[in-house]
Amino acid sequence: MWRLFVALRYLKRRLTTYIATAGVTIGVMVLVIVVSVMGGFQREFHEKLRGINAHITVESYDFSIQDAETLMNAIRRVKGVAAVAPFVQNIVLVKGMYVDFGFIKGIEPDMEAEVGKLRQYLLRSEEALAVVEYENTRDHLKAYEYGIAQIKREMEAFEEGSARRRFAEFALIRFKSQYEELSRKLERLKEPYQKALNRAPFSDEEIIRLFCFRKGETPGVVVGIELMKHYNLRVGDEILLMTATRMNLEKIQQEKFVVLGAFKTGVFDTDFRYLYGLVDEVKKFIGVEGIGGISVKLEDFKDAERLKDAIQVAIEPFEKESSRLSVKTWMELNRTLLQAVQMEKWLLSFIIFFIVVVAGFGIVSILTMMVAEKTRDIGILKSLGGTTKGVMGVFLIAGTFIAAAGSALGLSLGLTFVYRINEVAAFIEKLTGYHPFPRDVYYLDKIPTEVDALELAYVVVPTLLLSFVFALYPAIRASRLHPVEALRYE
Amino acid sequence: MSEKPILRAVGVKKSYYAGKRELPVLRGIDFSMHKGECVLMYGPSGAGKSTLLHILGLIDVPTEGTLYLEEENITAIPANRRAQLRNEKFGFVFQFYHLLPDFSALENVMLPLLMRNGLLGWFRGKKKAKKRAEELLEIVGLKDRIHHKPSELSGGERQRVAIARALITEPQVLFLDEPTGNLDTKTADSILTLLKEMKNRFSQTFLMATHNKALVSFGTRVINIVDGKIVGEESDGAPKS
Repeated sequence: MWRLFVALRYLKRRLTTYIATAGVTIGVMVLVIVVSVMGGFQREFHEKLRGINAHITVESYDFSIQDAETLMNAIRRVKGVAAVAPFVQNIVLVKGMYVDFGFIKGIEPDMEAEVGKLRQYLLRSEEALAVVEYENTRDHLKAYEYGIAQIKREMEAFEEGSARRRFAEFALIRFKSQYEELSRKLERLKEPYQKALNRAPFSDEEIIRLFCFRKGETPGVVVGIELMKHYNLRVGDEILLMTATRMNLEKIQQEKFVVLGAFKTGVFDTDFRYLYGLVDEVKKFIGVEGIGGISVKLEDFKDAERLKDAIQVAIEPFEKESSRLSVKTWMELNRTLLQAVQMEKWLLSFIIFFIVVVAGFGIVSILTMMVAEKTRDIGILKSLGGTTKGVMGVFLIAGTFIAAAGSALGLSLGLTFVYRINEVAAFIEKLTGYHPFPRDVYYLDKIPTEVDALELAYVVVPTLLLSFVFALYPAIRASRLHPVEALRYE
Repeated sequence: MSEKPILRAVGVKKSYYAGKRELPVLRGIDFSMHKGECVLMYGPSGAGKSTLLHILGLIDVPTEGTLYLEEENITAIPANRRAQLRNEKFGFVFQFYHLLPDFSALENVMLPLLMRNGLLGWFRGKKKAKKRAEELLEIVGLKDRIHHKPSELSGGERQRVAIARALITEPQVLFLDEPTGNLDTKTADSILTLLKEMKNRFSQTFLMATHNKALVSFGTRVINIVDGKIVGEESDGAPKS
């Protein structure tokens, strides 16, 4: 206890103490912010993936599920399962203005709505139009912005009054006026766009109407907003889809589909590649009899790993009559993606942890300084009965105290920042006119954050351990000083 | 004196090494002292007084020889036990005061007692130590200056604090290494007066090293050290054979 008493006195009111503490504070603060924001992104990302993929997917790769109803009932009986929906999915080539590959997914719309987030993702036709117009105008505006910058750069090279210079000046004026016109248009489109983003989820009736009501006999698909933009599609347009199955490789199926509507998940790849249709129409299109799989929604997605086994057991009797069924959780379906995000977070934290390491070196240097400065004190403490361990303790406590104070300060500052991060972002936008977190880039209204006690512990505990290890060297050196030598030290 | 000696040294030698060259400081010291004695080590500077004091006070270790504390061999006891003995049995007053500059006079005096307390009973122990330290500082005449840092005290005052610090543990032996060596004559006199007072008040056992002849009257026994050896000893002024 006297060690703490002495250590605290040595730290008191010394500039070096504050500097070393500030180092640890900054390191911990930045780590807390990064871990929390990355955690927030990860959570949003997971949520999106869960919105697109069912919690658990039971799949047959040769569309051999004939009696979907019995199979679904068997899965429904597993405790913890909230809803199920059948689907049939296959790869397609989309032919319109361009050719791209995608996936067509045949669903029972009302059942699918219970399993996934289809309700939130679907757009009414006027909403789809608002989104397409706004986003296209925005991209246009960006292109003009780039073009204007380009002309300005090139103009420097042209001689004043030369024909090329005059031409460039003329182009610039025209570009600028078009740019302004587009800006005004964007401003006008902003309100309906915001409205579309904050749209109300589809009701059951709306979903059924969207998928089932149409003119004529042509089968219909609901396409992603990105495909709609890219192919310049409108509701009611027709696109050509081509497909082939593993069971019948020679035959390429080809059929015209009418665009019924659009959806926007916020994940580019999904919004570009997925097309939703009615299960019967899609079955006919790809030429199969059975269902491809069952999407399963759980009461709590965290049980996915556990319930996967239960579902596996429940569907075993069905596997005998058909070929094998695979059961996969949403995490397994997106393993590489999830791992990439996790790795990114881990790597970034690891790199930023080096700030703490540098702060640790700060602790070493101020403790070394302190030991040199307090050599005589060490001799005095030893002559008064201080043991080797006791003297070591004084400096270890001093080092660890700096780390602890820095961690506590960094933690509170970091958390304050995290909880007010959107206000900070708004302030920066006001100050510079530039939002540090553009909404349309990340598809998120706010900067997401996730404060997790365990992850905070992963920040603080290594910081304390590291400082302790760093403090060991000067502390051991201090404890080894011979009292007679130390007392003689002037 | 039939009573067993409190401190005894047999054949103590100490050498320092400068590279391979041996520099003997103590060349075989036999010495013992009893409770209540006031022993004065007198000799020129460089004679080895301080080294002997450090060895007897367990701050330094002899190269050769044996030490007994109350007839218990303490030559080779582990470092932690040595530290404990320094704290519990001995007190030290040095020529250069050796106070901790970051602590007030009061805290400096309290420190030896605080070192005995663990986490449990820290605050109770601290309160007790504070009370005792205040008493002692009053005795040494520094009642009004207990919250001053050493840098705010004069040399004589600092030495008074050091004496109070040495006495707070009620040590069996108080080691003084040239306690007046750094003070002017007048201040030195007042410190000596204080030490005499302490001697009578606590019947304190002293072992003082000095090269100042004027202090010889202070001891009940004086030993002369020259060149690392005891060359003469006198008791109460009378030479002892």
